[in-house]
Amino acid sequence: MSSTLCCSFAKNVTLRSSDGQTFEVEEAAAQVSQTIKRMIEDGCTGSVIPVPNLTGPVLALVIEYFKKHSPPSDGCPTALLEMEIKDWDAKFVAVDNDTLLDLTLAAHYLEIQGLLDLTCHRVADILNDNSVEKIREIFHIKNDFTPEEEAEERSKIQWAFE
Amino acid sequence: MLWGRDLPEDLSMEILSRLPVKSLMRCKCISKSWYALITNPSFITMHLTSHNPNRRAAILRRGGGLEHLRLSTLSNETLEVSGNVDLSQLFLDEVSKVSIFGPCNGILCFSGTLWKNRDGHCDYGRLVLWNPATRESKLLPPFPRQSDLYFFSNLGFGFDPKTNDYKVVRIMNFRFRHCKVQKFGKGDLRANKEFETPKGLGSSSKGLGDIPIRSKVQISSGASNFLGPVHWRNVSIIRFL
Repeated sequence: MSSTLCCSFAKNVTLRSSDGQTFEVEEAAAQVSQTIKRMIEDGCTGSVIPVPNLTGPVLALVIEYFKKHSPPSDGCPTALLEMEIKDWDAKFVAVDNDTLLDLTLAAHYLEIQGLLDLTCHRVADILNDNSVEKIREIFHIKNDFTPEEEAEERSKIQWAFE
Repeated sequence: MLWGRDLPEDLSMEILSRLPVKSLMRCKCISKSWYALITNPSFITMHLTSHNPNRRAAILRRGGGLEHLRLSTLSNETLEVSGNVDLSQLFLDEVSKVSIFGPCNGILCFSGTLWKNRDGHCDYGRLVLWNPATRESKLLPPFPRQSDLYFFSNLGFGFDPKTNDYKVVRIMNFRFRHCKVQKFGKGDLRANKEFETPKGLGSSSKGLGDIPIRSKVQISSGASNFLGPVHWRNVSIIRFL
């Protein structure tokens, strides 16, 4: 009896960020990350799983994503649920640009395909919708072209600025 | 550094591969490292093969000569046709008849018949490679003049994965049953050297194997160019009888 009782509770794992913060999360939810899934399969569940590339605040956000995207316990997701998740995703990446790059990196390190698509798409939208000057400002990029070099490059592709 | 902070290069490529070509052209002006990544051949291949809903189809509109050759683009999503780019500036000289080969990996090859070049000499063709998405073009060196002016020629344009390079092949069929093959590749372009005759295709039809006398060697048109390799076949024709 005790064994069935044990299984009715969700199993948790503990994740530790680069700055030493620990978070407890359901094992099934954490497996949204392929990297964590492999670690669990390799038997890391007994101890704390280190996530050295992510700071506490970023890991906390990623765990929010895990919870929303963990496979539903009662079968297939409904169309309504999918729509709700899509709305939630859009709000989830409507963050400041530094956090957006943090989340993109996190999705890359932790191999979370859904989050990677979501964040890359959002960054691409920002690049698509802004001028060269604005992009430099948004992402703190230093322009290392001389004014002459930049003018020459721009003149070759005038059509792209129309 | 591409961004104001450290991001792995493959991740930056992942982000940029989602952009339409027009935005990528603009992004080349952000900084030198952006320029280097966007013009990097491995990124170009990644962008070409990734699913991109922003991709547009090129529509070429043509009348008789080159002066009527115009490019418009068709949106994949809205089916809206836009743009009207004049292609007459691709050729430096005035050409009389333009044929289109390809596309191969999104690149088109135009061949224009030229009767008088800038020095007033007769010439027999100009070739231009053109990428409709980036609007970049490359004028290839002219074909060397032939002593025998009577020949039928046939062009093929394709990608050679062995040398990772595009090639333009011209097969000329002269009277008296001899055939000659000329090709352009990156190496040929860089050094602007003399044309080579590939092995097995000498200046006579001997090397081609079982080609019957009184036949013409031809490059098969159509689908073969899309897939990369250019194939040739031989077709018997009555004209040489």
